[in-house]
Amino acid sequence: MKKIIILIIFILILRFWGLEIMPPHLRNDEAALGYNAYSILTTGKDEYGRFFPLLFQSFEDWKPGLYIYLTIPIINILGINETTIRLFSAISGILTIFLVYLITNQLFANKVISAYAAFFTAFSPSQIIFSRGAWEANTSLTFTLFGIYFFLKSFTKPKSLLISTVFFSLTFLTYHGAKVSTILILIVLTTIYYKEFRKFNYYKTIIVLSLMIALVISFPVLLSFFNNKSSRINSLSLINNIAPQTYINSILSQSGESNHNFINILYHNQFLVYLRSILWRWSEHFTLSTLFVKGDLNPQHTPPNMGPFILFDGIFVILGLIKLIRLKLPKQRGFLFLWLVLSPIPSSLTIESVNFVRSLLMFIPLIIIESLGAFEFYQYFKKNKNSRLIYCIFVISIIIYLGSYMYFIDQYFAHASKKNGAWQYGYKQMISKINSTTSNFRKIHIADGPDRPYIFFLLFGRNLTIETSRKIVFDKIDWNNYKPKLDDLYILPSSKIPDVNNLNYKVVDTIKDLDNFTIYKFLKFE
Amino acid sequence: MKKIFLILIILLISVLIRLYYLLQIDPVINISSFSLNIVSIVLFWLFINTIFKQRTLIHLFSTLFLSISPWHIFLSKEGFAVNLMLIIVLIIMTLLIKYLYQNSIIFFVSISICILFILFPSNFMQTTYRSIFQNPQLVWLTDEQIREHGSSSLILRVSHNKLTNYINVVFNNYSNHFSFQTLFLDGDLYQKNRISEMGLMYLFDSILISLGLVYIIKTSNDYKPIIIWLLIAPIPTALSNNLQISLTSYSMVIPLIIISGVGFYFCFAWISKRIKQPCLRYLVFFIIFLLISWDVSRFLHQIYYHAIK
Repeated sequence: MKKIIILIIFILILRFWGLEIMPPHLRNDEAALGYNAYSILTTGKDEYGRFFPLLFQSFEDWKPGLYIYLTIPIINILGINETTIRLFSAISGILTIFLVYLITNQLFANKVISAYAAFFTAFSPSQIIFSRGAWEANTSLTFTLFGIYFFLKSFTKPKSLLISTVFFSLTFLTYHGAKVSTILILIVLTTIYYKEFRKFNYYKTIIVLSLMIALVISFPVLLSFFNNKSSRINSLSLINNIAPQTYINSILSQSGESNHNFINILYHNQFLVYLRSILWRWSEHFTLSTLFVKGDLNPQHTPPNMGPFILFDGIFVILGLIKLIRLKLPKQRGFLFLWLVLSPIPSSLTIESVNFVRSLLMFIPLIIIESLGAFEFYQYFKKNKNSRLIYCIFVISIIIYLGSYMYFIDQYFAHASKKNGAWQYGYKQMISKINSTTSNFRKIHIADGPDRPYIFFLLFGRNLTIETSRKIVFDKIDWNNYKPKLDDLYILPSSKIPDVNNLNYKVVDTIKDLDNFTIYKFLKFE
Repeated sequence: MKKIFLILIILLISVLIRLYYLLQIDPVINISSFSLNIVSIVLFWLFINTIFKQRTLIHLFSTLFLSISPWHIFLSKEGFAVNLMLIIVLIIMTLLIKYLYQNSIIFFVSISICILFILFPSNFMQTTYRSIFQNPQLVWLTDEQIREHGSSSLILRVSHNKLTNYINVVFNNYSNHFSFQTLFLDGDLYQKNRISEMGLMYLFDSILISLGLVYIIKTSNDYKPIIIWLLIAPIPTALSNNLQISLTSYSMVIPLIIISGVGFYFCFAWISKRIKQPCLRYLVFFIIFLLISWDVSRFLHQIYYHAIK
């Protein structure tokens, strides 16, 4: 019992401790979620003045709003700050641990394997990182796991299928990527387990009822496809962002071939270009290097020099895969394999190569497979514990595992915050300096850009005086066509400091990142 | 007799494809490289006969796949050293399996030592070989990690060591050998060692290798030497900064091709067992044959039009 309490304390620390300082700054999406929750709480309207919307316009990406509504009670009780904006995701992370335990138990009816799965979920870097940020994808993952659990439960209690439908439908209202991932999971579940429902006489009624529930809950999302609110999918979609014909023409021009030749149509066609692009992205999710060494391209998703799993997990994953292939449970095997193989598809259909937010679902089958491997490893040790060699290997493995885990803790909590490129750090600090530094200026120009700085000013700038707020202007500054005004203050990232000869300026103030490098400068032109 | 006849046909196919490839690249053929490349196919057949005594179909499928393998064909051009290395590995492995296979520990140790001892020198033969330990980036990375802590106490120096960062890079290099992109989509990391839009193996090999691995895991321990070979072969390259996988880890082609052959056998056996209707069965075989032919002909097309001349 004592051991379990210690483990729970560790789990709580890893997920809840210092939510306001690690990640070191809110992302613009987190700020948008938090500000809209606050706005709904205080006025009943979002930042654009819409009354209780289900899809939030935000950065023209029409965010599904469930996370915002779930955050409202927390903000109401504890006030608005980084911790309260991120708290629901952290709670989702805790729920995920229990759900992985329950799902593994449903699959293998083995409490030891389920306990291993819960343990690896609790301590997996991937789960900790995504629980510590306000990621709608993390909450969507929890709802998907609820859906899977109640789906599996419905083989004994058919009415659970209705609860399962509710949770699956809620994922649509939580995260954009769920439109693909939830549907894929449903296809996998129904393909593998369709025979289970036929045991019951009234299964048709339950299926019809479930479909009706799904339709009602996901109606706003379905509607978004027809009223131009699915722009996020269009902007990220691989199909809209690569030009296969241009690529084919460039290949053909290398050898001066014609595009209309039958042989060229056979070997250089659009289908093949798309297939190669999707396969390339999909397979990148499964490389050992992505999973255990490098992670994905976005440093917010994995600690520096690490993947979403620690290096040693790789051994358990491989052992688990071997165990799973040999297992004489075809349905469980089929379900886990298909879940794993199909989960990266939403991410593979987008323009980015690997984005773990979009393929968060794939970590759960990997963790379950890892727990099978760890179980096998421990069983082997138990059988051969009298052998000194095996005992030594076991002890050394535990030492290496703990060492690897310490490496993760160090990389994430000590080093990740120092990587300036990873976080939109500095806006909160900038706003706190504006009141004191800027009283003498006519206008304050903030460099506008993809970070969407306005949302940070809405969130953190609530304490600015009305006079100061009126001075703030967001400008897209291009120094070749821009003439600065002498009475105004310019707040710019260090990379945007003018190097045009005829501009003289004085640096009034600076903002430094956590690694002590100057990231923003307050400029006064002379 | 029938078997020998089939092997001779496979050899004829090998010679014709390689000649076709070599003549597209350069009219002057490097005879030594070409001959060693062909000899390696014969030795491969002897090796696979030693390892699986009864499975004639696996022998044939694997030898056929080697004869049409893009990786193997690519190295018929100017890979004298690597072809020689492959031949030596094949001879030693055949002898080891024949005489030492009964004693598993001695076998495992000797097979590992042999592969490493042959592959390391072949890596050194590459003029651009540089050990991972000469990588200045890793020294910089370690210093950067210590600096980020804001002090340089003894504990920090011990916990942020070069060894950990070396392990990361070595593992990254090692895993590159097994990445889908390298094997089936893009080929070698070096432009000069690749054929446009082709991996080191065919796209259909990805499915066959997956099936082969499932079959191997599910069935017997006959395949231990193949798996050991596959896992050990990339180590010398992983320890270097020279990731010309197609050259320095060339010997990987043998276990991969065998697994692909096993996968095809598994697929063949499964279809023959499960699909009872002869018409439907032949239709499925015909579709598989079409897909494989399309992939092979695509490779020939890429050689003809898009290979670096």
